[in-house]
Amino acid sequence: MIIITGREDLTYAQQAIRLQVFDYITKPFHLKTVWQAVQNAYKHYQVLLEEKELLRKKEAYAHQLEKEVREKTETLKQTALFYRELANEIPFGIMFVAEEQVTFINKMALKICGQNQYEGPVYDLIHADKRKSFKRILTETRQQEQSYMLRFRIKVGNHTGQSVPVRGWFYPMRYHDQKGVIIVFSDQSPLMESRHKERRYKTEYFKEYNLSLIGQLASGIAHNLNTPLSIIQGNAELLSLKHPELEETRLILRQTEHMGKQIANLIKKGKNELTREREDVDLNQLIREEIEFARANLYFKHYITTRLELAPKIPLVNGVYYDFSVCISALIQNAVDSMYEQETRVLTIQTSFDATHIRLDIRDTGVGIPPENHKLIFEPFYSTKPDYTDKDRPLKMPWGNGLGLTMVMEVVEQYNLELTFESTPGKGTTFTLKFPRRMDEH
Amino acid sequence: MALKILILDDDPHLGHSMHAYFQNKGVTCTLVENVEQAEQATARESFPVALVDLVLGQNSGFRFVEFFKKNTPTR
Repeated sequence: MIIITGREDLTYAQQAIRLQVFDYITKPFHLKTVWQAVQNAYKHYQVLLEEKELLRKKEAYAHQLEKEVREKTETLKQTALFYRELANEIPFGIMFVAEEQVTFINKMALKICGQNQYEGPVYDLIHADKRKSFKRILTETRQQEQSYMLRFRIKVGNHTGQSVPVRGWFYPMRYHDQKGVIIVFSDQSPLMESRHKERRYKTEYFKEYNLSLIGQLASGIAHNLNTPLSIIQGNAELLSLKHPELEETRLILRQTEHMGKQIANLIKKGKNELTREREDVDLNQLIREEIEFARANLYFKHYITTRLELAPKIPLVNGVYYDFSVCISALIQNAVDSMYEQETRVLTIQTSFDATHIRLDIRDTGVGIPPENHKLIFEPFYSTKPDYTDKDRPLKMPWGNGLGLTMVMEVVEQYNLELTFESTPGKGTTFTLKFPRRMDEH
Repeated sequence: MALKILILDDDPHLGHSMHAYFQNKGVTCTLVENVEQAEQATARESFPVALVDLVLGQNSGFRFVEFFKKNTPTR
């Protein structure tokens, strides 16, 4: 800040102003005037200093702000990267769907879809059968702002025709002011495979168990019957050659033939039970075979009165023969066992059908099921009968392992059948099995 | 910074009277008679205000004006 004191000269004054001096005083002057000028200059100086300080502060602040913004941006970038990585690597399929377009898809989802990358309409990823329900849930999620769960199928690749069953959860989410949906899904095929395996192992187990019993019985009977039967038949044939007039010989031959058929039936049943293929099964025929088989048991043959009321021309049911056979034989076995100590022992098996269902009733005059046991009877290993290994069990008393109705329920669930029962304690029980006329395995 | 005045004037009467006047006002003053002295004083300490006589013996006060402006903290 300078105050010039000089001569009264215009060029000096101009020069001084060009040099931006604060004030210009010409001689002669009063000291008071100079003092005033000094004070003004000082004030100006202070203002300038302050201004400079403010500017410095402003710059420092701007600098600091820039630095902070840079740091925050970097942190945000890292966070975004972290979440992206997390979403990418998590072992669930994740997609973000805005409108109907996939705008984010993670690694697992791509793996399930069998693609390297995907951006496009979400419906192109969904199996045609499930597209409608998928669309409905997607819209609901967006509109109701609620989460939903849906099982659907995701197409594998574009042209393979294969698809993967998945279970998906839908969450509403806003992103960039846009209403979108996050879909998290997992491949259900390993689970379904293991369930399928488990079911197969279970049936295998029961099959083994039953086959061993049947096998023992059947081979025993075959061995015991076939040899004497062929001797009888051979001799009867000889006899009829020697004495063709004898009516009795013909009777013997007819009966041996009948017996041969029964043995063949037994063998056939054993064979049927070995096949796991679906076929059309005539329930009436199956029931007759089961009863025939049960008659091999002398108790059944002599102490149980069996009434068959089978509807003629019954529609066939489709399924694995063995499944139905296990189911019906278990129900018959329970009916027979329940009549062990009863005076009247009548087993009635009735078939009927209407437009939608085929109905099978198995009625006994047994002890019945007390109401408190109604909930328990389908529990595995629940039984009112003594165990086979029970030493105190009277020799002929029926025994059980508590798995009969469990097996029945397996089949009922597999084929979507309906199983109900009515029981009057002391009077008897009727189990009713309803088969839908169009059978689907579930 | 408190007010300090650098007075550059080769006229001792005028210089001294101003010096005395400002001292009386309670302001610290440094009185120099030529540009060299003024430059040395400015290098030693900074002055918020300088009173410069433009017409000095052999040197022009303008030289110091340039120097002073360069060395003032308000630049």
